Amino acid sequence: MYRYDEFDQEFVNERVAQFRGQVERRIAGELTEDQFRPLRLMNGVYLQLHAYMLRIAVPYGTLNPAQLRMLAFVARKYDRGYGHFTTRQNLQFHWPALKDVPDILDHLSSVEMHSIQTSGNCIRNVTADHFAGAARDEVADPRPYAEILRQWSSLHPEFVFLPRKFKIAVTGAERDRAAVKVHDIGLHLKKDADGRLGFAVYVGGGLGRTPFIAHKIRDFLPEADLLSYSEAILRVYNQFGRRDNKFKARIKILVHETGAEEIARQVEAEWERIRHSALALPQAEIDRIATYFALPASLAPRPAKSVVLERARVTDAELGAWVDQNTTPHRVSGHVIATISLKPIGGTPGDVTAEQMELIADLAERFSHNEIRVSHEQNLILPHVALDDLPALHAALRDYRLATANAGLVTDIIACPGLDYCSLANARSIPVAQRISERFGDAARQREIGELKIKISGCINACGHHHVGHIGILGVEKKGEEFYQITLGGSGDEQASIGEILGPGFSSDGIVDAVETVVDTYMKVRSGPDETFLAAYRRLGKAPFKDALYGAA
Amino acid sequence: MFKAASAGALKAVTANRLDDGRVVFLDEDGGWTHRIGAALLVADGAELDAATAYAQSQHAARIVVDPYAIDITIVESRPTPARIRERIRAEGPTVRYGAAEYAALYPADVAAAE
Amino acid sequence: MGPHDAGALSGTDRDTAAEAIALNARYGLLDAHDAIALTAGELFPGRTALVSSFGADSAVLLHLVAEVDRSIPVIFLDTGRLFAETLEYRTRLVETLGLADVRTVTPDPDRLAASDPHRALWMTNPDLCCRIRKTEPLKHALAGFDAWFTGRKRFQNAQRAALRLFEADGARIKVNPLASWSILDLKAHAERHGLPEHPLVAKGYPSIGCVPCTSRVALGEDLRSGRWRGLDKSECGIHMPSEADGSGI
Repeated sequence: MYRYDEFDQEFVNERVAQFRGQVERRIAGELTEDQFRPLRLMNGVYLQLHAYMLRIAVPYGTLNPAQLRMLAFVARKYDRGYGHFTTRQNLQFHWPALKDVPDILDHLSSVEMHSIQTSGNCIRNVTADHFAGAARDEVADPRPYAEILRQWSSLHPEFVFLPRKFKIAVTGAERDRAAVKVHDIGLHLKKDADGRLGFAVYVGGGLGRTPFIAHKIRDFLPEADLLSYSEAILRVYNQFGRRDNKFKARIKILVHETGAEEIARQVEAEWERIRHSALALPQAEIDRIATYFALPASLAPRPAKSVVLERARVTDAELGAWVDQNTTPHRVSGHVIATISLKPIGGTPGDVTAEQMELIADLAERFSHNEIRVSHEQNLILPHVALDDLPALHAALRDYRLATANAGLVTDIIACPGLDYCSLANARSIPVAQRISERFGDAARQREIGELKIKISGCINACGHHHVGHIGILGVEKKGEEFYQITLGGSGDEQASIGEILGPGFSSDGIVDAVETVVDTYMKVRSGPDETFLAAYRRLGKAPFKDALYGAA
Repeated sequence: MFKAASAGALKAVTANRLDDGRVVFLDEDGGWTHRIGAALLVADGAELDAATAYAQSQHAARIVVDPYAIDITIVESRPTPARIRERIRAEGPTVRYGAAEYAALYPADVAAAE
Repeated sequence: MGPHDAGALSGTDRDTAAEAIALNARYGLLDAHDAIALTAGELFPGRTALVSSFGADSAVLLHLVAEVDRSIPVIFLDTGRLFAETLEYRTRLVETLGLADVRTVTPDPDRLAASDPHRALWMTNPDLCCRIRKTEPLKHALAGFDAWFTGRKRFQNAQRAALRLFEADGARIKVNPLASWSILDLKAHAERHGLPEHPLVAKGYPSIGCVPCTSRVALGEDLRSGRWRGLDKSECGIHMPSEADGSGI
């Protein structure tokens, strides 16, 4: 895995020292809030409903055990014993005191973590497929490119004051697990006819107030041109992106208003001028970075069938269900990618206690070659687990209530913190997620329903990614009450789509029943158990669901 | 002890404490309290103007951050914010978190550990 | 409006003005003890009171008065907005000094209900707040007295630099036994007699009045150093995970 080089570490140390001085001056009264706000945002410190919130960057969702243990330590010592994993693969602490943040950042810096550029109008955490490097269907590992982009984007002098935040995602298989089409720049790894590696480049995707699916502006961009082309896109955005209106400042608006073809033309024109500059990536450099992401040397192929596992499955039905639902075949024989669900029935999606973090760190050492991933669906991943180890792993997870066998199922709900925590929210999202989870808690029923992604946002900023939920739920405030709108048919994968509104929203009392009505309708109209909810919706459209919810027209 | 209000809507002034970001309410002594039960409750108009002006001076003095007024109704003798957002700010998240959530979801685990 | 308003000196006021001049001429250099004994014993026996706030500087005068006569009435203005420490200090001093006739005076409840229903008057109209909570109750309390002791001292501020032992105060004589005392005099006296200090003095309050209007640091203060009243930093209220009521955990 990538290690900070000396330059990186020194930079982070300097930045923490600088912020420490800024915090001290703020608390001593020398800085006003107006002066301090931009400074704290540059270090990922928000002021939320109840307290400050610290958002820590997890570059392309990759953690090692030392880092996870440090997060547990911080949670216990400076927060309230837990952390929250987000839809951008980051971690949030919801209760740090401002005066403690410099110490927290020092601790994090000691394990090569930081909170820089997790807020503000800059290039944010570059996310990648959480199965990167391990997935069988992968064309290439997206993480080296995410790391190259990370280095390039960290405090790029030209781009520290963009019109608005900027999010980049990279995905490495044909099946897009990183939702690149709803990012400002989406990069989809592919090979050309000659087998050379490159990217399909998408621009102008995004959720929030005005959701858009990204447009492809280039079908094939050679690897070496990754940075120069990205730089061209950012330059066009920086120059022409709107700064007059915060709600129209994302690149998606620029693309929408200017037109994808014109944007592509401008980008290509700019790129022509700079493509042979220092930004051109030598193959040697790509290879050098890629070596940090090579599969662990200790990860050796094993037999495709595991006697240990097969035997254990006979007597342990829960183990079997968990293996079937939460593991994915690994590119190395005899191994799987294991998903640790952070969605216990009735629990807060994405939350994990300090004790659980420490256990997972231990398990990553024992069973996953020291790697942990964070998925944008708010689960944790152990990417390199031998089949033989699954019984022991599952047993350990089960003791800590981390063995919910619901990956991708209806109770694997994505939810933002919502009005319980967030000062931007209009409605609560966590209690809705909990009640839906309880309603569908029966394991057999969930498996029968099959893959169904419910995503809940507490406000139009869509941090819960509701626009790309198979069932999306948006919380709003109506006459002082919490109210919930349902959208259907959204998807963040390579066939991305924005969910459609069917009709009026539902009260807090009615929303869970409404969701159940939608699910029951699907069960009635699906062509068979193999037709997923999304496929059924795409085949049939809104009509049967609309009728079920609101009555036939 | 809350005294019967004069006619008109009641307001309180709330902010976040600077050093730890915690929710506080202006109290009757010009200090800040975590407990909405101890908040200063004022009438709209001159009283609220004076209270918000005072709270702004506390923001300028770097004691609290971004004070603002909220509507209060009295429910069972207790001052209760009118908006759900402010109720959540006053009382904390409506959901459990951390060890308390774990204990609520898995009471048997907690019992076994004791 | 009462009979002692400015601009209309009554016959009584002119009398006290002249009386004060005469008293100062004759007795103006008496030490504190003798001034108290003279006033309460000879000049205005049975018609002299001490008004005390039981604040930062009150102990010395209370002690001196008690030494002369413990039964001299002590009028204590409980404005309804005092520090709990002040009330405790009062209890302690009364006991220590054996004060026999302490009269606690409070504001008119009807006046308060009408003018300060939300206890916010100190912000909207501090003058009126003082009037209702201090000035008016004091006036009523002094109704039956012709003379009263104060603890005022010359060093306290510019207006008091010309302070004399006897002063006219409307229809009454105000007596300032400590007028010529310095800070060191006060300290020495308190030490010599083991007088307890108001607990808030050690916490940096140089003067102690009503809670909202008392600030921690003297003139030229930095606002930041005060104003944590009512906020117990360990009191995290119902945000703490251990809270049992189900909300806010």
